Amino acid sequence: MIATFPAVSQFWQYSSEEYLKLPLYTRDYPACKAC
Amino acid sequence: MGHARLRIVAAATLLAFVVVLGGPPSAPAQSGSIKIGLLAPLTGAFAAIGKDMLNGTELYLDEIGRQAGGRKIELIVEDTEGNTATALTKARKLVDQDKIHVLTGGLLASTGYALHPFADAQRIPTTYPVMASDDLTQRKPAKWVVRTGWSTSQPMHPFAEWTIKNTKYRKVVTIAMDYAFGWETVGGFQRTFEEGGGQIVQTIWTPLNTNDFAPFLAQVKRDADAVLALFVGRLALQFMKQYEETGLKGKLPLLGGGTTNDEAVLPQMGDEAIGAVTALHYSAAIDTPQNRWIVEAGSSRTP
Repeated sequence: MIATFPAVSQFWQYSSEEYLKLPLYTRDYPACKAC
Repeated sequence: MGHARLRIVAAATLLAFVVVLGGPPSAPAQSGSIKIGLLAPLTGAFAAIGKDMLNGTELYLDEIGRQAGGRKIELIVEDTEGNTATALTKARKLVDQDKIHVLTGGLLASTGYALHPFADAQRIPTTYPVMASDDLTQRKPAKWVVRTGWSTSQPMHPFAEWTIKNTKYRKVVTIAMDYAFGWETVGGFQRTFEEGGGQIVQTIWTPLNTNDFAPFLAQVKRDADAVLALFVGRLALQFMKQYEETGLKGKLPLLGGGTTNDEAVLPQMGDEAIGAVTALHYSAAIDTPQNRWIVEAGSSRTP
């Protein structure tokens, strides 16, 4: 192990309310803007 | 050896007993054995992981003498073959024919999404010790499913932050299995990575039945700073081997989701695994009494 992050939420450091307003991660989201 | 899965399957089994023995306050007294149905991929590309899942469950059942609350525990195991449609068929068999009290197991994130409406419709208490499909605890919570493990993108957000803060990689190519687990792994990393100033410059998706990664590896942009990969089971072994054989290992540092080289596959890898940095919610190297126990107990069971 080279690094440990304690107590990581499934929403990371984002607001859960704002997080859930965004789409589920899929093949097309987030879009690959630099591809 | 999949100590991660041994540990979390054992925890899920414990939870299953709580569900069954606790029951609703108005439930009539129960007798006879407690039937637990376990779904695991015991054949196919993910068989090694499925056998770890079964070993983990057996380990815990042996620890408690295969009984709880004065009732014997009967474990009924079904092979999903690493296929979501088969998993759903076997789940129906466990519920309809075997009359199980609790359903547990499953591996693929796509299977998690497929079983969720089934569990709710059948009102069968279900635990997901391994399946990490994000939305099951986010936008589509399942009433009859308790996930005792993790969510797919959970390790990838901090991993992206770590990459920004600890490396000079700013242009990353992603290559991942083309299904929910791959999408959610890449998506979690991409969001935090790009918010931190990085860029995903290419996304490559590989079918779950891929046997040869050479055509996909040939597409990788050589002017990127690093590659982020996500593979599971036999596919992880094959990918890592070919990443080295095609010369990419010496040119583009490899990042990844944890299953790409976790303890389920690492013992079968050679030097191709050296230098890869991956993120997961668990490591067999965690130095706690509980983890040392599960590692030692798991090792003694794994051939």
